[in-house]
Amino acid sequence: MTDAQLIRKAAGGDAGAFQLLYERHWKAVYSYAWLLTQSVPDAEDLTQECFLTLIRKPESFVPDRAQLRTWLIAVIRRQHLGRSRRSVRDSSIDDEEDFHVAPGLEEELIRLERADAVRLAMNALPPAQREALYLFEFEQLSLAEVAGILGIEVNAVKARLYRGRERLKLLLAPLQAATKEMP
Amino acid sequence: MTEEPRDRTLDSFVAVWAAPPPCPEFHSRVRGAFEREFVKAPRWRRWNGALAWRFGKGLLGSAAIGALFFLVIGLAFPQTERFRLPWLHPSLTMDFEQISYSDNGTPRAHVYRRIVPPNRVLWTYSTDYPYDDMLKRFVSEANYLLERITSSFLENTEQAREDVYPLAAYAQTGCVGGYTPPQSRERILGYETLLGYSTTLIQWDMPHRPRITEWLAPSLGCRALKVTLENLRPDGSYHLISETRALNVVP
Repeated sequence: MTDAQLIRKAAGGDAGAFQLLYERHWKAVYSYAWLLTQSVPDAEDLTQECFLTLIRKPESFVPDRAQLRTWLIAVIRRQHLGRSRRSVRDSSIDDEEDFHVAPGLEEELIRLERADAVRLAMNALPPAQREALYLFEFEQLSLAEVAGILGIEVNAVKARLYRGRERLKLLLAPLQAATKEMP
Repeated sequence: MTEEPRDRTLDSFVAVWAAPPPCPEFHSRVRGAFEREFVKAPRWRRWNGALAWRFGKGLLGSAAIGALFFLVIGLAFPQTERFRLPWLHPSLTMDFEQISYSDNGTPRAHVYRRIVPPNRVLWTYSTDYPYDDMLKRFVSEANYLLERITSSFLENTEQAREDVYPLAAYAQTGCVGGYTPPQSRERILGYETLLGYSTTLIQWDMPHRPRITEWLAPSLGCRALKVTLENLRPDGSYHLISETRALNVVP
């Protein structure tokens, strides 16, 4: 059953359809919400609200225009910006800010479990690059989809991806070296 | 548009990156929120749920017990002024037929019933349009019951006597000089017997208003057994616009 069919059924009160829809997409939605908020309770709230918004206004999702995961992620972003009172413009400014690795971060990255280290490294990126990198590399969305969600040009997405990747590699270099040194 | 190639060197990190897990009850909380908002319960359960949420289950239960208490007291001790349930003991029931005439003279009939409980609050509902008037009847009856419940608490016997006294005095004068609309002229046209009750025919002329003629029965607390409304024509004559008459009276 397609997402669109499930949405229609869920909007009619079908709990089973909602459950199926939720199981398909909650992880992507929640992960992105957490990436934006850096808080588990806030990410949970955003995720719940995002799914309820979808069921409240099923007609706002047009399957021909986007896949549901992309639509949900865009909703999450709008809700997050609405809550934190940051404008889209504000969120794109920090793209060019100076990037410095915080003192002690390298040692911390080596000490941590691999998953925690990657999470910490991602968090150390400027938010605009982090978002672009996450959507493209982690969620495997296309450049056009990322540009659509972030409300910027494709070329700007490419620039953010380039800088984000370089910085992430730089941050994760000690981790890669430590991994190689392990017997 | 050339698609940006994926950076394979990040693959090993992408594979392990994950947001911290949500709390264990998170999924059931989302499901619960969905069910509360979208899953359709039977209408009575939704109303019950909404009422219980608004007023609390305890209060609803207390209201039900209170209503039962009043019912039992009212039936067991109908002579108790303070706890009497007047809607169980109507003092007067009258069925009326009203015929209204449109401008071209087409008549339209309407039948309704009036119940006059001891406290003189009229309870009116139509009997000829059961479906159209169902909501009106429900609202009317609910409103009436609510009025009676509140007045059972507030009204005392002395107050009731004071309210009744002017009506009794009015009836003693043969229903003359009771209610006179502003700027109106009251005329006694005569006396007739309708449905076995003596009535006084009284007519009121009011400027720019229909002329009213009423057949008032003193023995029924000056209730009208017949009412006509007439409009003044430019040539000075009157034409009937509505006539209401009692079909039966059950004291």
